[in-house]
Amino acid sequence: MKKALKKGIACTLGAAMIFSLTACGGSSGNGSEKGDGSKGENIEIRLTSRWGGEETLSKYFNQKIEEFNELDNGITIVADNVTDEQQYFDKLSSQFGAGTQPNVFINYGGTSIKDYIDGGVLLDLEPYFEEDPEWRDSFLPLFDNWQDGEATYGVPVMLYQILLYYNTDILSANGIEEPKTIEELEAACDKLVAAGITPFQLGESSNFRAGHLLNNLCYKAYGGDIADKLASREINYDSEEMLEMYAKIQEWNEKGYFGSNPLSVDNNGEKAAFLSGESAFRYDGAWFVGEITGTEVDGKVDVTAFPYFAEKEEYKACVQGGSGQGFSITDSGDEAVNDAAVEVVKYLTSKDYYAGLEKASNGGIYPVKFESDPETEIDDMTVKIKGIVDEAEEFHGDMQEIDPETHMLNTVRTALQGLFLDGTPESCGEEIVSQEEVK
Amino acid sequence: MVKKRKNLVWSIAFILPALSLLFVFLLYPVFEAVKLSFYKWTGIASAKPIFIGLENYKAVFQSPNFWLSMRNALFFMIGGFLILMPLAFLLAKIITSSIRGVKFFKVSYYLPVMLPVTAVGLIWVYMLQPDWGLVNSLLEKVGLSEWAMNWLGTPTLNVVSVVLVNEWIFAGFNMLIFAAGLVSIPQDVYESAKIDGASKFKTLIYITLPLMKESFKVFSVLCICGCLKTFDLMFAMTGGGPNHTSEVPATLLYTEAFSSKNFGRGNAIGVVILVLGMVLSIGLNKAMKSED
Repeated sequence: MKKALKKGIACTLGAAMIFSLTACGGSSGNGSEKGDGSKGENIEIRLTSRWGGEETLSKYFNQKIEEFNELDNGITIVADNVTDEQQYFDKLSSQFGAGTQPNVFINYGGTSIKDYIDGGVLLDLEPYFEEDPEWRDSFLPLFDNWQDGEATYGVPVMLYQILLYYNTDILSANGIEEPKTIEELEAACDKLVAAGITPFQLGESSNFRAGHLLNNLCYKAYGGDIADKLASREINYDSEEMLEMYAKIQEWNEKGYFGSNPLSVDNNGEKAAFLSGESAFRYDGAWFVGEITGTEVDGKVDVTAFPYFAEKEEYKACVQGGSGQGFSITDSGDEAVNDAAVEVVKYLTSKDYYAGLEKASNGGIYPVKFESDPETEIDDMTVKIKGIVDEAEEFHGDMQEIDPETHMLNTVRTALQGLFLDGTPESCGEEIVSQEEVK
Repeated sequence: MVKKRKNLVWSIAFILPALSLLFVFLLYPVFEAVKLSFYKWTGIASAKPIFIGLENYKAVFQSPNFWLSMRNALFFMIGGFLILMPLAFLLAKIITSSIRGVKFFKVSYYLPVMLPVTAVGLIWVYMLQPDWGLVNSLLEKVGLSEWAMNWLGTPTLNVVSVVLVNEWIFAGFNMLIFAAGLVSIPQDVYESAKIDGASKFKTLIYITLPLMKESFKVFSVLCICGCLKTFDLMFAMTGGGPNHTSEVPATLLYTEAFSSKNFGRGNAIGVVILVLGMVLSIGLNKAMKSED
């Protein structure tokens, strides 16, 4: 009797284990867990972004999500924010690989979504634009990065330009004027280094920092065509043109422009150094204005366009910027869920949303046309930034955004780190070219 | 005959749950990884993988980063046998001795194992920060400022730094393996040796170490496999950088798969790690068995 009981318990436990395994698999889809929408149940929309920090933009974004969820309109946004760029994209890759991609996600468009478009996982928004042309027309004409043939796979949510922020106290104490050209910037940095002040505390542990610098130097040296030429390999990454730019970055590092250990400082460390008044310069997007408020350098920071080469004035107005980030929607295969995801994106790109963001940030530049709230107090720096943006004639994103190979963005950025070690411009170029599959 | 068959059915029923787990969570993923290593796949569930034969393996073996990652894994193994093994053995001797406060030592040596590896890694990143980190600050305070270095930003030194942190974390775990071996040696063997006039050193060499052969075997297999597939600590401390200098096979796998969206090549690296781990473990087992 005892033996039979033992066997019975063992069998039950075994069966429980096997059944629990079957519960682990089987279901697929992209995560709209609560109901399919067609039965009038609440639809959960998973939204991933990089806006999870403490800066105004992130706080406002998450506050608006909370407000949306309080509407109780049958749609709930489940936000998943990963602030670190590399970690964000790695997480996104793993979600797409496992088929658990979010319904709505932030991306840079261009090559970064090419594989997703080819894989047929993104929702074409053209039918939704036809249904609601007012929504489409509310955007500035910034859809290029998300268009593939007749289809549109995303909407811009950010308008940016890489600018040069500087600490006015440090510059005036050292008799330095706002640098307009690269040569003036170099002279300013030399002066600061001689005075024992760190010009830029580059956070190259986050490898996009040198990547952005390379973009800006290349656009100012060769114009916007350089991105197309690199993508077609007409000019390759080991060409004389590119070697010259790598050499410039390395030279600046060796002269001490980027602080003592740029590879041991990440982007947050770089920001902290600038916002605490330890470094004089920082290049960043227009959104950085919102992060200055309330810091030690509040009121001591001014901004200018990224400097240009004095001998290449024709490329002065060619800048890194444009519609830097956009929302794309993944096709869940369920019309109700897709419609709900579009509703969420409409809400987060509405005129009201941006009017509120402008008010919260005391300014900013945005990809949507809207009327400002009368109570909005636009700060002087934002006014200046608007002027700088107006002067720009050509906007281009990361040079690798239009490269036929998805990995090139990461490959170039990683190779640039070699310039801060014992690499040479030639070895940097060779490293990039050796990983190209499209020759 | 009927009883025999009945027993067989029961036996199968008993091992079925374990086999199911093994199949679902180990064999099936391994099979899928091997299969995918012959394909080019961008890592999108709906995208069709394209068969490219041995191209991924060719690319992996031709990649300088792969060989660099293997060299770095070798650093982990060298560190494991030259630092971790003696250290863990020494700690095991301490906690199995009769000195005062042995309970305190047991807990404190094991404490790093209980902490999440990523958290410990990040703590060490701050401690090793070259400008304001604790390590360099201490070195400067004691007048050894020339020893202050960019621990995680200098090629090779960054790998050695992570290896040392790894030994610090896992000394406590391996201490348990050796402690289990030490306590299983019968006391009367030591008493006989004492009567025969054996010194402490001779007792260690001729009694303790030979009788702990199984413990060393377990340690060796775990060390080799662990070093080949090490990921979390390196990823948390350096992310394989800067410029791939601290890449280990698993971080390279991750970079290929998730950053470069080259899942086929990532799987090829995974298969190489698996085969190498199996070959080394079997070889080591055979070598130690032949000595028996």
